[in-house]
Amino acid sequence: MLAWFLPLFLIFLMIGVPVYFAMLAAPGFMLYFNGQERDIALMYRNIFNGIDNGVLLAIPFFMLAGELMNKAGITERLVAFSQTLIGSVRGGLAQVNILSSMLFAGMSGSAVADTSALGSMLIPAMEKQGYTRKFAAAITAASSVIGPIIPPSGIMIIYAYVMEVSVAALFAGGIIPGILVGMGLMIVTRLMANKYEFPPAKRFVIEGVSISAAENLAARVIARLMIAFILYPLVVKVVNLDIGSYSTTLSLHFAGALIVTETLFQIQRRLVSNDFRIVAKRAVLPLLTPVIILGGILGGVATPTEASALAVAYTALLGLIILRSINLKDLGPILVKSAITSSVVLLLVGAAMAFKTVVSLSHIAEDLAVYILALTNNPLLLLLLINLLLFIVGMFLDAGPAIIILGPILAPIFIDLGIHPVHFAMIMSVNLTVGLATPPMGLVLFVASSVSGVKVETISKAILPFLAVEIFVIFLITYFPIISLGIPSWLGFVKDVDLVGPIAGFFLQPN
Amino acid sequence: MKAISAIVEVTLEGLDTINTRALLFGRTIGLVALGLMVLVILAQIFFRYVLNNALPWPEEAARGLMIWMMALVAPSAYRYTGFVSIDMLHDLIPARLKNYLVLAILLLCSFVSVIMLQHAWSHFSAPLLFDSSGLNRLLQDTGINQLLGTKIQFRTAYIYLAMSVLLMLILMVSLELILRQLARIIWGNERFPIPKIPTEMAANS
Repeated sequence: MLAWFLPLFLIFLMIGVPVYFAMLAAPGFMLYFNGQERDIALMYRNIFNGIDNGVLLAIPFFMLAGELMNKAGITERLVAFSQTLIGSVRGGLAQVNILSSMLFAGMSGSAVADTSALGSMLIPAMEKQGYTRKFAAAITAASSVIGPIIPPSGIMIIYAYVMEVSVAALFAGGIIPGILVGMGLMIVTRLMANKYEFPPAKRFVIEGVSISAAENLAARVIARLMIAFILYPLVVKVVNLDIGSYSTTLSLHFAGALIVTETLFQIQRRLVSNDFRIVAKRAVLPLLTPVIILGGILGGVATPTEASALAVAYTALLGLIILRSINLKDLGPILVKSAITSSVVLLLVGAAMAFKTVVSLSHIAEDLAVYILALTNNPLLLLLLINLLLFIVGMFLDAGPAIIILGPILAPIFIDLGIHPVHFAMIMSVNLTVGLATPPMGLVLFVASSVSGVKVETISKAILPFLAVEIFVIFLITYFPIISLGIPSWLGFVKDVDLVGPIAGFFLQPN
Repeated sequence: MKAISAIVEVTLEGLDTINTRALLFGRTIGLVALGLMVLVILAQIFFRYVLNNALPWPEEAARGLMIWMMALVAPSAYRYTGFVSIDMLHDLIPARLKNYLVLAILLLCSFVSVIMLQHAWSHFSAPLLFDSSGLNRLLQDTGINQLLGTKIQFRTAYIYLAMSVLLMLILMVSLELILRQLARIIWGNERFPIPKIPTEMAANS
């Protein structure tokens, strides 16, 4: 009887009841009619206790860091850097758009921030070079879904919290899927460039940019520190030692690796122009943000909350003091905006915890599992079905609420079937994030439309080839667990996992 | 009839003024709370990693600030931009029917808020008022009470209170929205337009 809360909830959603109230009203009514009024008090406690948790501080902090970067003009430096790297490829600015999205994704956890920051800059620039405006809007929308896939990621923090998985494992898991989506988009763009005769690209290094002496010095030092920071764990892995244990072999290897990279640095200096070097140096300080965030969390040094607070402090420092692109007056609206967006998310997280209680009280996950397994018990087919379901839900619902509603219902079923929780989290997050760019209810499409002035319907058509490649990547992620689990298991966040998966396992079988 | 519509109009104007001011005040406190949250966590990091002294209060303080921020800011989202919802159906049905549907949804949301407010209030006013250990350590360590000659004590219930405030603000907004929706149904949408969104809340500012 209690299980009827689910259909009731769906009806509420369809007629337009806000997700937050629908998540409380439907289970509340059914509990009442079932004579379980005491459990309504339990629901309230779960809402409050659900929100009263320090882990959630990361949500407003990452939103704030994203807003600060947006306003501080960090985007412009990233785009210039992307242009010097790949602007000369055929379909150059479209590729720059994708690469900038990937870099931006390492700093912000939201697709909407990505679209509005990059779109307002790149769509006019692309149009000037001869791209159609609808194509420019479509590629901006399609590439900005990488934002929540490459860590940090708002929806992954929410998922990790509601489903009790490690945030670090999910962040580590998102790296390769995000890069795959980016690469897929780049390949499609390259292929389309041949067919549709995109404007030819020139070597696009912005000339005459200057850099202050202090920033120049800082960039040089920090670039080397960042490389040392990335090299150290690599060397440790290669020499096969535990991180933290000191030995002469390790320090010798590390010193050797540093000398090799420094030599490469010096060779690179001679090969490229002065302008190129300045543009690259100007990107160093902004690019320190993802290093702080990821290094802190994945290195096990800082909790996600601490890393996100540091990211806020660093971006504020960058914008207010180093780049002087924002002033104290700008801080007010930035804070208000982040406070509002994160408050709505926090309320939803609270409602999700109450919803989760009723899901387990009603045993609906178990009932659904029996029903689904009666259809088929082939995991390949089940994963296909689940992807279809997620994709359809993603068309109508924002990724955050969708993951909050579906996680507690679906994840137990698939974890029982032997899918790793982190792998399933990745399938859900990527699928629902791509849903942000699908018509009719794609949040990213709306933002792209308001930034570019192109109608949502027009962008929806232009975005189809990019969606196709994103769906292809979703299938790769679904059927090859190594894509999501490779880095987490390498870093030791997940243990004893089957990285091969059903399809590759089929070919690897000896007989 | 004309007299009634005039009364409704005046009442709505009054409610609009009260809500606009209350929500602006809420957003102002909310932005300060968010700023303080960042500073408190930075202090925690500084003391833990640099001074090697893990403070007992920052996490608790930041959580309290976060919940109060949410309580004071979320009603603005409810009034101006609506909470996340699927309003596709609203574009498919006739405008008149849509007006009734919106009214029904508003009534449902208010009903949920009233029920929640009862629970929130009993949570706050329950006889078991725990002392908040972390924050009281902060008072002790800084010696504020001795300095001011006061006897301030933090209780966890001060954080529970935020939920009641949130729900009361939402109900205030609901009252305005419901009354406006009724007026729209009776006297037409043109005469009772939807309140303007403050600039700092617009989607692409």
